[in-house]
Amino acid sequence: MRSRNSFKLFTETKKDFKNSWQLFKENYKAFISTEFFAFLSFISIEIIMFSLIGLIYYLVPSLSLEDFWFIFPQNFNISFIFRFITIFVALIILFAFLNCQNGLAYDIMSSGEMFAEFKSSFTYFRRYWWQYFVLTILILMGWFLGMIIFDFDHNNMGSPQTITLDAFQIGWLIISFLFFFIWFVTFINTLPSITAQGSLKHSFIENFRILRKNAKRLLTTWGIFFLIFFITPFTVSFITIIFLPSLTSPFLILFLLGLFISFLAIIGFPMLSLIATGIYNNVEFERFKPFPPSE
Amino acid sequence: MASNFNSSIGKSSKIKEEIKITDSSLALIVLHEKKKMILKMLLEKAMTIQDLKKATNLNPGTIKRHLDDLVKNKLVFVAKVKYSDYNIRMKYYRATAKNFIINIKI
Repeated sequence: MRSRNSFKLFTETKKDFKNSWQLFKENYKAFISTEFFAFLSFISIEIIMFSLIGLIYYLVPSLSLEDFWFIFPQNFNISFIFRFITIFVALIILFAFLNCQNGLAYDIMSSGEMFAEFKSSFTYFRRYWWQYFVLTILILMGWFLGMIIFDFDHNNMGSPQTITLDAFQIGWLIISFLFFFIWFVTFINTLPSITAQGSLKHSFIENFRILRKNAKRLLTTWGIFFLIFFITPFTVSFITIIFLPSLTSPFLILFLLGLFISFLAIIGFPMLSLIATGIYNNVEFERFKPFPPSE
Repeated sequence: MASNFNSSIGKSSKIKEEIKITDSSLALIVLHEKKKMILKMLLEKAMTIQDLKKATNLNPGTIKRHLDDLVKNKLVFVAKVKYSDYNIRMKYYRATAKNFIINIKI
């Protein structure tokens, strides 16, 4: 009986990946365009803000660069406004736009047309930009808390050539990864739920309803997702840096980091949205708005 | 689970034997190359946008826009909505008649 249940569980997980991959292949243009636009907007805002610094610095000779960036600026207001706009606004646009991929996944699976267009991202951005931002910050908090648990030695972080990990540190690293994973699984269902329900409160309630009734499926599917998109590239990078120190150079680290981020961005994020929406549509729980959506 | 969600929107009784088009603006819609190609396929059977994409090689966005136009002018309707085994919603479109005859007097 138990083996039959685990077989069913793996069949469902296999279905999550198989269907999401199929849908991603058919709609990759809409997903990649959304990501490209999100990163481009982020970079554009940063460039505009840094150009503004140059201009303000040139026009107001009494200001110094310290007024913009330093920890204890002479002019707190300028520093605060500048930091708020450069970081906060740019991140809102980046995170909100990246999460519009949940809207695209919703269009593909629930609209009946089975395809998504890049321009739909703007509709979802207008509709849910702040909810997507809040939920992304919440999910990413798991990563930051995980890093706090790990408490990486500050001196080691400075120079990659000196990174050495003993068994104790590896243990803490695994615990911090596990913490992020559990945190991620706990809150990830809020994203497809907000797209379908349109209410932050409802999305949290639905999220915990899904979690309570389908914890095993969530752990299996997201466990495999983590294994593919986080643990494997992270392990490969770490092994290269630790066991092949002769190869380690800032360029290699940058290359590995770029490869890791590209892999996660190009395939990982769209797959995440499609899998999360697929699970939301397929699991049984009490919904606020019924599924299928009415005409 | 999926079979519980199978539902029908339009009915086959909605399909007429013949529709005479006497309005010139409607005739222009029917005679539009891509719309005509889509409409011809939907005379035979109900199809999804993905089916039409495979059959016509057109972009799904383009097909959707032409279908919306055809639906707005009551030349096509959503015949049924089905759900795949992964609960993916699939709308099937069908022409409102088996034949369209253009009859315009100038």
